[in-house]
Amino acid sequence: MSRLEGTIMNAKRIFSTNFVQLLLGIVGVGVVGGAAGTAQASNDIFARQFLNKGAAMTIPKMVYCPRLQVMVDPLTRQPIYEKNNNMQLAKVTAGCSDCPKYDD
Amino acid sequence: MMKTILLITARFDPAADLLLAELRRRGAPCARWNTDHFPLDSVLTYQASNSEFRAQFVSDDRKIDFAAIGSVWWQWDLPAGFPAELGVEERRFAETESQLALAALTTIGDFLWINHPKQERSAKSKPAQLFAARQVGLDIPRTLVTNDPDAVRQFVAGSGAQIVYKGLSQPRDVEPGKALFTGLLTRERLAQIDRIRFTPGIFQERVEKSHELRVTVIGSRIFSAKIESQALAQAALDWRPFLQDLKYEAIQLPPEIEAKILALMKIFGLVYGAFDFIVTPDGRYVFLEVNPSGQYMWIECATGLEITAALADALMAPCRP
Repeated sequence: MSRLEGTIMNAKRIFSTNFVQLLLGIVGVGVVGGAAGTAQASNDIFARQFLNKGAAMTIPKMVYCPRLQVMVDPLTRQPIYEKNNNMQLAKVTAGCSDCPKYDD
Repeated sequence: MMKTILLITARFDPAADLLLAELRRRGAPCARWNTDHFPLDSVLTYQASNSEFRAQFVSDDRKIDFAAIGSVWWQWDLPAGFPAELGVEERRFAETESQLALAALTTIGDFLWINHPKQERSAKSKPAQLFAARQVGLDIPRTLVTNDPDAVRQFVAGSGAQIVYKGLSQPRDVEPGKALFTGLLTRERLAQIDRIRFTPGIFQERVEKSHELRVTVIGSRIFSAKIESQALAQAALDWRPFLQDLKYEAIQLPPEIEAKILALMKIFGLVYGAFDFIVTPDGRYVFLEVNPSGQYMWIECATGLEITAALADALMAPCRP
């Protein structure tokens, strides 16, 4: 599976299952991991010793609304990320493996 | 008439949602194009002749001519919207064709890019960052980037400090639910150093910390936040897995550090950058890295620093008549 396929599959997983999803709670799970393919291919990479779990986090169920061009609550159709005053929501970009904005 | 602000991103991008909300509150014309679903869910068309060159895309039932664009917030240009039934070879060809079609966007228009993809890609290199940081006079940790096991052994032997290991990037799907963090190069880990032959890595002398900084830069505006990473023992080496448990505070950097940060941004041609610094107990500011696509939502939420508003300001400026 290519990383692009992986991204789509991950995105589908986020939006299509239960009400609450667990995401990896770290800053820096990159979307474009340059070393990813290499890392995945072997158990022998040096970096494997430094892999650790991040903090778990929850995000609400959401769907993309083409009219508003943002994520909305599937029931109320209200935007999820309209104001940045909820740390539980705000930290998602700091732990989302499928978010475009990421740290290495 | 005001030009349009275009957000090139993916469907799941909460920061883009926030930015769109801010732009709409201000009445700024703006549109989003989720290129992670291109080409299936959107259409890109170029028309070229001796007399004209036109480019437009249709996405979410909106048709946008690139002549109407004034600025672009760029987050994503990896097309991934392909039918599942495509074979491997067909898919590879479709990806290449789609990427090359998108790649022209960086050439055809006179928009402001935040950040320009070419600049962003060159700025992502950690050795390049250290080179540039040193050039502008920022303090950097003693560092070795290599895939030579002997060089690592010599670096460790010749250093009086503990050594930490970091990746040059963040791997995906190596082990589900896990990510690569900065870690101490212990004797046990050093025993595996021959494996570094396959994946060059960063080896750095550990710098003693008073606290850490996340500095978000947009143009010439600098938003600095203190991270009390040493208040939590588990976060002392790498605070990222514990960001929910840490305290943050908006601060003002010394002017000379700000000047050096802006000089580094200029070297890479970045408009946006998220810097990580260590502040040592004796008050030195040690540059660790700059993330050209660094996250900011959590730090904005924790400190009240108005980063989204500053991004909106920067994107709107070139769009005004």
